[in-house]
Amino acid sequence: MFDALGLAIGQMFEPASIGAICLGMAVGVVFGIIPGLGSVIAMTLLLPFTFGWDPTLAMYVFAGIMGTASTGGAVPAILLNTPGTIANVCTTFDGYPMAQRGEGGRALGLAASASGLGTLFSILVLTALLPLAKLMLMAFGAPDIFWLIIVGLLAVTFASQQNMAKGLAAGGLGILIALIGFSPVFGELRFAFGSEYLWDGIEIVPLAVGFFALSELLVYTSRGGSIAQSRSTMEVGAKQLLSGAVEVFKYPGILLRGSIIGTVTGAIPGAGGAVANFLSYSSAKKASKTPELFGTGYAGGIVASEAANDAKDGGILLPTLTFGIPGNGEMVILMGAFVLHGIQPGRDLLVNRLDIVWAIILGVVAAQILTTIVILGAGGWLAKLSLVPVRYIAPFVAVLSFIGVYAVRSNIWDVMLAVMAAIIGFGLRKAGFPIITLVIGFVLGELAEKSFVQSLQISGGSYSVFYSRPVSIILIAIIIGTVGWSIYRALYPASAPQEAAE
Amino acid sequence: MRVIFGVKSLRFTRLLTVMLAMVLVGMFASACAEEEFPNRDIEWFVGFNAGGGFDVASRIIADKMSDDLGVDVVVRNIPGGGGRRAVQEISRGEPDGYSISIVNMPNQITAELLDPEGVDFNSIGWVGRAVIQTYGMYTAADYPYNTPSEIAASVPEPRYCLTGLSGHSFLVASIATEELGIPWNPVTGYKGSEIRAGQLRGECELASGPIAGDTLTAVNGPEFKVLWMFSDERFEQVPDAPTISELGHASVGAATLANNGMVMAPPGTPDNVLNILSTSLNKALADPEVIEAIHARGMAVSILTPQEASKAVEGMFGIVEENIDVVRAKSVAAN
Repeated sequence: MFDALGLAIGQMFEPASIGAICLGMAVGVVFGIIPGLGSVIAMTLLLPFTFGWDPTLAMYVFAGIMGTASTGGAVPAILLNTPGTIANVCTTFDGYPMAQRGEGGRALGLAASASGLGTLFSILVLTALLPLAKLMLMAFGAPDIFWLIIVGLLAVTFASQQNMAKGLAAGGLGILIALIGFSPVFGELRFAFGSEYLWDGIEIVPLAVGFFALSELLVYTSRGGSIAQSRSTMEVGAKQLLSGAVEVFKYPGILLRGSIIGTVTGAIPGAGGAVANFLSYSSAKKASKTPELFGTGYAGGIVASEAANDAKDGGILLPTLTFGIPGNGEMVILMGAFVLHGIQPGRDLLVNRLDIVWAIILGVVAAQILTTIVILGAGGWLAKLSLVPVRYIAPFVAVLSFIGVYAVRSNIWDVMLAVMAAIIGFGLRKAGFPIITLVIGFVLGELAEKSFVQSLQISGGSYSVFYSRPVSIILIAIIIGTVGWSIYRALYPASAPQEAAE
Repeated sequence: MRVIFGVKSLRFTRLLTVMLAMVLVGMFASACAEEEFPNRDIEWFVGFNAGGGFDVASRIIADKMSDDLGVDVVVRNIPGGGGRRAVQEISRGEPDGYSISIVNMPNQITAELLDPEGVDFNSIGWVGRAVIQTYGMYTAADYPYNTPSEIAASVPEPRYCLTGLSGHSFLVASIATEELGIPWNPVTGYKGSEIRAGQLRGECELASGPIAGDTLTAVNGPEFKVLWMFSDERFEQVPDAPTISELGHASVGAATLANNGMVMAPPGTPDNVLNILSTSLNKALADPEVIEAIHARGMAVSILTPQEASKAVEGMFGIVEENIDVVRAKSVAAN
């Protein structure tokens, strides 16, 4: 495994690889800074254009975006009180007050440095766990995978932070969409309505572009103006930036706790950067001797928020690379990239395509280091990007979306599908249904069906296969615990922890 | 002298004559150009995503054909329905030879017989055969049985790892288990290398597929073994594996169950056009560079003229028709 690391490091310093990482980093930072766009839309838009590329280069681009968007998102959070991504919400609590005091540079330095260190921590954890991934893969049979998917679907629903019933409905709709086309196990054609286009089911690229990029665009276009609505001082001094970057080390406890929370939360499907961000911030506040300082422009608050939202990167890659179970929108698109480049997550990836695994890991690390430097050097200037009016951004993103969707299969119906997904996605967003739950339901739906039928075929039709394996029993216990806890929270809402949102 | 449209009549007659001559020359040139096939780019459809075996082979061959024909042979991927979209496109296409497609046979015959979409394979213009993928039966190295009779008698009954209940692997599995008396216990839903992970986890024992790409690498490693090849000649890349004919079952040997990458043109394509395409295709396939590149990807070259290709498809049709009830029964049994 580590022989491949040496080769990958050598390959990373080739001009094409450096170019791919810089491209991913640049796109990630820009899309992270412009509130509402974020890494998922950036990856979605670039996905079709990587078709035909060397898969390793494509992975460098995606790793570049993944590693940088939430760091970029800290810039408008601090300078404009508008989080660039949802994972930067807690950064506004202390970053903006600090910027209002004229210490925007210090806040940016703290954020960039904490993000970089958080990412490095989680990537080290991922690298340490990768040799165990193959063992996990052999230990997880079809019934265990089925339960793991159910855990993932439940976690995504509970983490949607919106109405749980709507989360479940969106996930269910995603599963229903996944049923269209030839059954992966029975070979029967389902819900094709006589259309040849639907034979192979719904393609992930047009669906993701429609739901993630185009429907978000409709939301912003219907609102008008520029995405960031407020404006504060954007003057940041180099001295302040550097002092902030060094100041991070005054908060080792908060930094380590945030990194651990980010890594662990990232590994739980559906939890992702936003949950990590809230958990880290609230636990840092709870553990602090001076909790009253949080929310007043306190450096520790920025460290807690930014270390966790970037530390999720290492954790979230583990279930995706090992089991092909994507935990968030970024991982859904990464799975789409695997499909597009003929890469099979799991055994194939961990045995035959270690170059891809290391390209992703090294790409995330390299892009994070570059982003930290870029934010320290040009954070204030870059923040102005979020003041570009929607009317200029929307046509650009829309045209890029349509070209990209058409490019993959040269099929105009893919463009139609993206438009339909955009309209449906817009309606669902307006009605408060979480889009991410729908898309993860779509991706996991097929896997769930497949592993369920496979389990019964393996056991000769006996349902005992679902509760006779140790891994399955542990996963069932987790499911019962999760559902029980959510029912308890629903019955006794007053005792549920609310500090994070306060 | 009369004046017509402002032009004196004599001059008008001359003008008319010249114009007529130009039209006639144009029509003649156009007729000549139509006769000279090809005079513009040829589209070569691949019914699968880029990067697969048939796609790579198509690109290698199309490149050589472009040099030979003097026009570009452009590979276009139109994935859908396991290759059926490309078949549909060609079966309804203009019979001018400018659109051809590589198709996976006899799988397309099975698909058409199970779920008719109105494609008449007898009327298709067959250009030749681009590549052939030989199938083998493989399992985990520690599986204690090696011959069809041992496997048929094994307790507990063996389970068959499959991608799904469609496609060529399903056809091979259906016919092979029927002919060899192996019990039918399919476990479906495995994609690519997942089959081998399933075998190592003990979820299923048998699998059949083209011994190419990463499967070839795996069966040459310590974790897997090839039980036999569905052919009557030993497979060069796995020379120790016996052929199914050697094991006494020639009915499923002789490349009967191989996956053929046939090249088809729309129904009604003139014979002279088919011959031009076929000559160019076979010239490309005789090129040592092409042979080596195709071989490196676990496929083989097996040249056929249009007439031989047509006859080969007839033979495949016969085998599939003969076994279609078995395939249907196996599908129903699995469900």
